[in-house]
Amino acid sequence: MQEIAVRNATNFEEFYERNWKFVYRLCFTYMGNQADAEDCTEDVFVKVFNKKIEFEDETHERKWLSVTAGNLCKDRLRSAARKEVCSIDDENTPEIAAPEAEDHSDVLQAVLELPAKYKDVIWLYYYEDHPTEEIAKILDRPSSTVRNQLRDARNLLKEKLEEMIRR
Amino acid sequence: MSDNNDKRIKEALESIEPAEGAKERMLANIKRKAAEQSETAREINSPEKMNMEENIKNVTVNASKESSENTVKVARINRIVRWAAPLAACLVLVLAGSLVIPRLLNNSGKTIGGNNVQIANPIVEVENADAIKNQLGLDIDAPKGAENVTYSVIMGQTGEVRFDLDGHNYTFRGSKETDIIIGLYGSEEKAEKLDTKKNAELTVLRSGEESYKMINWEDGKTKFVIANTDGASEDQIKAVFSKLN
Repeated sequence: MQEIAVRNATNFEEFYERNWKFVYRLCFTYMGNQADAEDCTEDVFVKVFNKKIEFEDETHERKWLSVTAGNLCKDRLRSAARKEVCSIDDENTPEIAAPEAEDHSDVLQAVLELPAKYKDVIWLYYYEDHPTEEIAKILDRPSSTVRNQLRDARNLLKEKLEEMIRR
Repeated sequence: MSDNNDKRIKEALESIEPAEGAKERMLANIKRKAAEQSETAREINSPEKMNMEENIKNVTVNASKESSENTVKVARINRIVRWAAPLAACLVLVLAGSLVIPRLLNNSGKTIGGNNVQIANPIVEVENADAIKNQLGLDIDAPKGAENVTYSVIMGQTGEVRFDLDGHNYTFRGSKETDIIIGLYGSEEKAEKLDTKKNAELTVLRSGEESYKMINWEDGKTKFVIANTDGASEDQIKAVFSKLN
């Protein structure tokens, strides 16, 4: 089992070089704009920089980054949503919605408009090409939950794409 | 959902492209944030180990109208810690004062009318090299040919001379009592031994598109550093080092 320690200067730069773009794309999928995507991307790598993270291999590395980036973005969105609602005890706290996105292709726009809770599943399924069983392990969720979320997300995307065609 | 739509979704995600310069910009921010977090963690975890004189926060004291000439601005001293290369991509040097601290205006220890705040000035401008020698017993001066020379004493321990030479500005510091801090950080691009007798070493730091150069050395128990941040070449700063030695 090969360990990839990310602590020394050279290794971190190499680590960053091979992962920065995909982390950025993932963060952008959640945040919907470049500034927030960059901010979240930076915070993901700062976590690695300051902690002693050891990965078994590059696959493990990628999974860790996907989950960490997703969680960080969701926290950020949740925090922004709470500020708008005023009270975090409010039972009617809205679901975390995607922020308003910049001008993009229809398909990308549809993805960006998905609720945040679906984005990690969509990302891992479409971008990382993981099967649902693998996604369930990565996200530590039941397989049935992952399949349901993926189904709901794809239905939402289908509706949005059909709506865009109709316009 | 059709295979075609699945393919379009994947392509859409892959079409996300960062802005120009984002890669370098983010890397620089990562190093900066990591340094700040690490510094904060150290301060929280062991405040009793800190030398509180090295951490004076930004304070602008506005004097009352009657004593407006006593307005004093205390510059922030960035305490920068040198990280060994294996630990971080961001090299930060441990010293006692920022390279870009604005100059102080008045003498230390005055009580400012209206706010009644006693402030210790970390940097005090003095008249010449003799003044530094009288206070610190330290021989430090600008090289021959230097212009716009200013002299200061930092924290009562470090002598500083700033000067222009051949179109570049240099900060030259020396201390008999303490390690010298210059607030520069970036990736270490180069380290070169210059003089084994004086343990002299040239360090080149890269921060984004900027390049900082410094040479530190020892003379007995006295430590010195000469630094440049406005693009002097390695040969130029080495020439300054030679003139000073």
